[in-house]
Amino acid sequence: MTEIALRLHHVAKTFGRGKKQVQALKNLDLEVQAGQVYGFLGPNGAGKTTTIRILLDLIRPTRGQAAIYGRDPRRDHGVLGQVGAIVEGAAFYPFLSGRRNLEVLARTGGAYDRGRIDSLLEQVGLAERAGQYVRGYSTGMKQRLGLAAALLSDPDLLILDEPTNGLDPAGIQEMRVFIRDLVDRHGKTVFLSSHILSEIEQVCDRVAIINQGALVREGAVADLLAGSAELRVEAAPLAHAAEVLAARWPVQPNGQSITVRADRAAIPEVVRALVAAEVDVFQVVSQRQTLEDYFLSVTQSPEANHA
Amino acid sequence: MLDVQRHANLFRAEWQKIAGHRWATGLLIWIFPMGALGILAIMLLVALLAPPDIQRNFGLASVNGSVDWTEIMLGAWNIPNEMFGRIILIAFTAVIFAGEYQWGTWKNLLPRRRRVPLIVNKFVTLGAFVVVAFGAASLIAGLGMFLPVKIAGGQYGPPLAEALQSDFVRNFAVQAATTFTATIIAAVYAALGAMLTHSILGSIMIGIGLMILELFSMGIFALLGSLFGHPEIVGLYQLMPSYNLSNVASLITHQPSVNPPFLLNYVAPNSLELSVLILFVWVFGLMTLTVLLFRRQDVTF
Repeated sequence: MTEIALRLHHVAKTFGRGKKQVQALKNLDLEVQAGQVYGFLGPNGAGKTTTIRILLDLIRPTRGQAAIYGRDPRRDHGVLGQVGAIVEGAAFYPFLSGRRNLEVLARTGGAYDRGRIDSLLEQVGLAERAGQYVRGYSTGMKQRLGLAAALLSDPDLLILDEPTNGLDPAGIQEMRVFIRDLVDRHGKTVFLSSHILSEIEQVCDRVAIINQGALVREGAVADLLAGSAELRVEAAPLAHAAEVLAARWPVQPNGQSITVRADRAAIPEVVRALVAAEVDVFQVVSQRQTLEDYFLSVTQSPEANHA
Repeated sequence: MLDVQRHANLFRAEWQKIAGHRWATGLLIWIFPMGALGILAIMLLVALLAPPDIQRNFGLASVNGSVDWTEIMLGAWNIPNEMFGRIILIAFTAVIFAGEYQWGTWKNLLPRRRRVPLIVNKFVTLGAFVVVAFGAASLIAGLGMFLPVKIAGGQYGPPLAEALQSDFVRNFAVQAATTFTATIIAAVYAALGAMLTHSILGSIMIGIGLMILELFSMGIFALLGSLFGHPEIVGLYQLMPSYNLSNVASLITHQPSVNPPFLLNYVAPNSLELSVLILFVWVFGLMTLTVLLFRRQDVTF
């Protein structure tokens, strides 16, 4: 049986009181199996960072329970020794060097190992500039240092909140490979929150989408996108074609074409139905929905907005 | 053993952070030993170049005999126990506490260590850092005076053996402990300000506000006493940290107990032991309050 790296059970969080009260999370349930990259998506203010802060014992849930490897970090703080994290962008002491920042964090965690710090600085490409004050670092360099800090204790679970913020395209690509490598070769689990959906689509095994503090969708990336494939049909007369196809598939007129909710395997059947109805078929194109399309469709639907 | 090593690591981490903030430590803490060195340099110049009457004015030759290095060393510790010194300590501790909020670094620390040891360690390391700095200032001022006094032809004493036989070592330790206490009280004021405002400036303002409130508490107690027809209420001032810090400093340097004229009619001055006990209760109580508040705080920045 696969180990559960992270679990949220009916987690709710309310900030403020009275009229200023804001419900950031509403009974969120989530389960992340070990050994995968798990994407955590949501629009701004959806509750992603609040969730991450609860997991790291930075804030207390109003209700519900968070567990990491079956242990509640609030009651059993030691379990956080198995976790490395970047929360809402990496933040460091600006008056210390990159290396000194890592030393301070390693010592705070009780495990200082100079060799490991050197090796991590090398891995994230900061070895040359490790002696410089962090105040002189670019956002991308801070993110790299943040990744090194997250890996200091060789954690089993990495919680990365927007890890590619400030990275250039080459840096984003490197980060993607690095994350996949952590999971595929080193057996780690990565819980990745990002607003760059193409990045999530390329690197994650499963995703959860939250909106207004509630879970909207959850599943394997391939499954989520497979269920929402579309065909773009160009035919004449268009109205008649729409009528014919609407009898079997969900159809939406789209200017000079019709969008049909069906996957690639349905193309021959679509063509046969149209030809049988004496409709001229000019083109049928299978359109694979991107995670971005899917994300927008689920977070902007009336159902999601009333979650 | 492992636990001792973990605590030592935590202490070292905090020390690295504090020492690494060169502006704060340079301007607010190292300035005292540096100041002592500066004064010594002036004394040397006076000893080498000035006529004897000016040398006497600079204290290089005491009218009654030798220059007492033990008094100089004990006196150097008084700075952090006085109002100016306490303001400096509040500013310094505010940078260290509120800085964690302002730099957004609590989120890196809290998953690595429980909140209670983190914050207690912060207090202890801050106190130790300040004690080391003022200890250095005390040593520089007391021992460094040997050279200018001798050049000026003055008497420098007492001999070390005589000093060790007297209460000097005990008094030096009590002064160091009082400075440690003053630092922790200042740190708690700054920490409370930091938790409320999340900013260095806000923390300094609240810290100084609390200190001023404490200093003016004698007036507040006197007012309450006259309102309720019990003037002896003013005696409660003797329970305040500022009174007891001054009292300990005064008694240790062989001066009379602190006894503001307002209090004379109502209460006897506190003994050294009672003042130390009251300070201990304050430190323990304030630290407990800070720890409780910090444990409940959501770190959202």
